[in-house]
Amino acid sequence: MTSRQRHEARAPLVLSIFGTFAVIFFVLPLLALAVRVPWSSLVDVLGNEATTEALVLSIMTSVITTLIAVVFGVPLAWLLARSSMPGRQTIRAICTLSMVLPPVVAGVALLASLGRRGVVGQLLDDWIGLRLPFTMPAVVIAQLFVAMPFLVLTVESGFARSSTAVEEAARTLGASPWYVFSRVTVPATRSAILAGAVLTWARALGEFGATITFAGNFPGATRTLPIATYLALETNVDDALLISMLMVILSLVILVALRGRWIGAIGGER
Amino acid sequence: MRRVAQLLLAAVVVASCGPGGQDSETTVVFAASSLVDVLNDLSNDGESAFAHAVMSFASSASLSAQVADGAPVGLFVSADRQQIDELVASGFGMSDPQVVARNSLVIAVETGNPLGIQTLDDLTRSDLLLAVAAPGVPLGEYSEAMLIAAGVQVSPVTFEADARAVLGKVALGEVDAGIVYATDAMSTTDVDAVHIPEADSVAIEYVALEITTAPGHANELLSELLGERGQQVLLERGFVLP
Repeated sequence: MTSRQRHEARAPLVLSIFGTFAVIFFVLPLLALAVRVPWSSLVDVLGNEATTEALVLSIMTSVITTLIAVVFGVPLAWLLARSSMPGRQTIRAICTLSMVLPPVVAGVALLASLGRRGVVGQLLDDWIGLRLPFTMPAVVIAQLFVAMPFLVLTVESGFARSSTAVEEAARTLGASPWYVFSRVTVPATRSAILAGAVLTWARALGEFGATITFAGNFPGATRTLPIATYLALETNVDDALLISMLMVILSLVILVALRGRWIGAIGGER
Repeated sequence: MRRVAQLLLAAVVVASCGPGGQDSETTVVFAASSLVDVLNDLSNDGESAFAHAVMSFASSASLSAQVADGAPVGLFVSADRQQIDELVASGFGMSDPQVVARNSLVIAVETGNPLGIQTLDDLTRSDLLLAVAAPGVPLGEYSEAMLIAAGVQVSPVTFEADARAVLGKVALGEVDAGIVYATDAMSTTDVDAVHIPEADSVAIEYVALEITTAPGHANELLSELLGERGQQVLLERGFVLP
């Protein structure tokens, strides 16, 4: 802590100036949003069935997405960080590509694979009559596709940084690989897993482009809050502003509540 | 090199005059996004007045708001009559608004129409996946009005954000049919258009207004659009003449 304070005292003027501009850049739009929001109609919009339906759907799908991301993302992160699996760099690049793709492209890719005429989607339709597009599972798949990389990268760096000495000690004492993973590795990296889960959840909650492309827009099934906001912009700007503010507050509360662990995992210090 | 420098200088001068402004050379045209192909076709001809105009395309609602805010516009072609009427009422009209073209609604289906969709009633078939535009966006409003007038009750699987999104879902085969503007269905070979008589129940008009803010050559542009060449291009792009 003392070293950090000494560092702050020495911050060059130019860094302070540019850094301050960066802060203003992020704060200004949020502040402007808060000022423009017609708070008086908050109760009306929250009482609006369409909004609550979208809110519930958004929370439900983003939580399911986060859980699935943890179940599959943590093992992937472990393989990338610890195993001697061949082609790890390539696999990492492919598995995190959707982070930087335009979300609409991600949506088109999902249609091409899981859509009714998609490579796999066509088989699913023929064999078991399963059609994913325009369903709630499609919303989760779209969110998972763009948001899971956040978990994988965060947890992988957590695995890579954590010391392997205790794990080796446990193995020497006869612990099975699964025991070592579940009782030693995971507890040691839980802040990274939590941080990754929060990032994934936040990204899933805000997902728009891949969702509307792959899952479409149907009230109660695929119309999430971001889609409701976008469509409200065409009809009722006040509603759009209020729903936007709702999302900002929701995300902010979670991020601030988990701030300590977040910084611990991302910044590598507590 | 000198020539490049001259061109650059010319560009800077034009830019600094601002779009329209006091400069009598360039006129700013605001037009609904569905007209982008038509006006680009016209401006590709060097003889055309549109070749020297600065054109901006967006949704009629946002363009109308910019005109009302005093944007230096000469000619505004809107897909929504109501916005034009409001601008006229606020004193932005140089002359009376003029209808330059009409559009209509069609059912977009997969190329070859494998499900044999012929009428609006076919959209109620239970095995059929339908996409429409969301209520609130102009296409969604028009589609809803047409369906209500025809007394046809449909159950779409998705309410898309705009005409291009509906078209995309049909083109990719994710839905069997979608209700779109005739001009959008014509813009791609990935879908076929099924024309329906019920479309006559909704009037989709493109209305042009010369704007007082920076008229420039607006009159000449409007004449061209209403003239032989303009109407020919509009027809080619699937519009109906007024």
